[in-house]
Amino acid sequence: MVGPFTVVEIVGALAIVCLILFAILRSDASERRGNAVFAGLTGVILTILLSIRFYLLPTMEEDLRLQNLGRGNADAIQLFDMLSRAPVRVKHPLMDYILRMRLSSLDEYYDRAIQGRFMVDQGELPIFLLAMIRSATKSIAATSYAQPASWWDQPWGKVYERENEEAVKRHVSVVRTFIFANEAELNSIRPLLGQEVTAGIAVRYAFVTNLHGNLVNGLVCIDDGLAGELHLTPEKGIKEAEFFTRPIDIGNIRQRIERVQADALILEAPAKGRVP
Amino acid sequence: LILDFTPLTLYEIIGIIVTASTAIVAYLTSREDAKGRNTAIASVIGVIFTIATGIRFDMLPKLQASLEPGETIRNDRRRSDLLQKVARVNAAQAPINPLMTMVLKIRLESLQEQFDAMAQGRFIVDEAEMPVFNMEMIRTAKREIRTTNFIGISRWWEQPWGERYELANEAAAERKVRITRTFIFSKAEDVPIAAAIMTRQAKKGIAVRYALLRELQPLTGDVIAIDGVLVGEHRIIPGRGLSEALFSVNAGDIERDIRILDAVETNSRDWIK
Repeated sequence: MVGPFTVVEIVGALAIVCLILFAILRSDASERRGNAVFAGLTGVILTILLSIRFYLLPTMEEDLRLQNLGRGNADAIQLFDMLSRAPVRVKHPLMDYILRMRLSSLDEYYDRAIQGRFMVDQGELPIFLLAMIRSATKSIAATSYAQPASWWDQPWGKVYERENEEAVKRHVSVVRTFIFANEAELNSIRPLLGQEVTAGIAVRYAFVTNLHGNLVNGLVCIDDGLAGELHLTPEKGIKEAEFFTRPIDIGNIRQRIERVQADALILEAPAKGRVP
Repeated sequence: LILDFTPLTLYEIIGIIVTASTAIVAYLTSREDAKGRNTAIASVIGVIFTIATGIRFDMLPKLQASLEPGETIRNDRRRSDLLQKVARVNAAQAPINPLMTMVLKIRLESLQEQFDAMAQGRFIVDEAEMPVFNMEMIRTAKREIRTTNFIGISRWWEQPWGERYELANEAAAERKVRITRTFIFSKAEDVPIAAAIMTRQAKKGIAVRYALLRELQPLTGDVIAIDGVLVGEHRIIPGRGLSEALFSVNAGDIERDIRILDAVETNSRDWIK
């Protein structure tokens, strides 16, 4: 579209002018006006019809196709609504840069989703992890290698621990293996681990030096339907997590967890009246 | 689709009148033997013309208006590809894990909020995006950068990205962008923490100023203004240990943040070492 007119109409208008001039120049004096009017009118009609047939209707058909793409697909309907409302022309190149980044991240999400994988970023993790533990019906197997400060000290970290205890109460088997750099690190959270054992969680621990490199990470397996791997920063802070829903990926994570468990020691329940 | 077709469009009403007039004129001005033929031709052409213009300029625009959301997506290849991908994902992937759906829902809601904010000229840059975005922001500045830098919350200058940011600032100063950076300290004893960086920047042609927090009106985070057309405010997200920056090209926000920067600069001192 160029303003309110289509390209076909603009080209048509130029052709009509030529046609009228041609009719004026080639007609007898008595028929000049009539022929020019006739040529002009038929030219306009033809132009409008061509524009409708070869420009307007095809573009409208495509718009309608996109609009109907999500019929019966809730995600696509929601996405269509969002994409159509997202700004088209933004006022600043940096805002445009962010808009493109947002659309790219969504694109990446769906690329992963096709493979049964999805990322949960740092900001989304608190809500997600709690929902994940609540969703468990049979088993939770996990290894933890996060920095204590970024896990236990966070308000949501405490809620997460409580959710694990709640899972035990609904007869979900919870096995957690904690990985430490050294004995001092283990001792710093030993009381908290003791509380978990008392709550019925099977707690194991291992040291980094005893494990293969790809096992030193945060891994989780929920029932048979979901597995995840925590991505940590070099300082062992939580960066993001990747989750898998395909059986082959879940099996892979489960195997890695089992290898860590095999190399780990079982934390015994603390004796009553004694701080573990 | 919501359409509002009237029984007769304005084009058609005018067209009928014009066609009738043309037919009468054709009848009256034609030779006796051509009266009938000319009137018929004028009428037929008039009717076709009337219907064509009515469809083109009244009915189709109404139809197009109803399809505007689809048009927005069609005109942006990225959006149309994305939508088509989503339509395919669900068809190929049923059932999807409910937690996966939850993440998508959270993400779409967050994006919707961000797109709505963009419509108001505002956008959020989250912590992970900040290093790259900050570099881009300094690189695209043409005339002026005015910013505060609260020492205490941020360890920005000590990080690898901070060093690159400092170089980008120096490059901006070299291409004659006027940079004013006001370092803010919660207490006088903290000034030495940033003394080296302040001196280094001052030597590179950046107007370095400093102030104590108590000398200023309450600030919620660092503020930046680029060329007087983009402003941003850095803030900490309560309870999540994360930070983000809210940028804006909205005239009201620009005016407010420029006023904040004016006040900060008025109540601060030059750093000359």
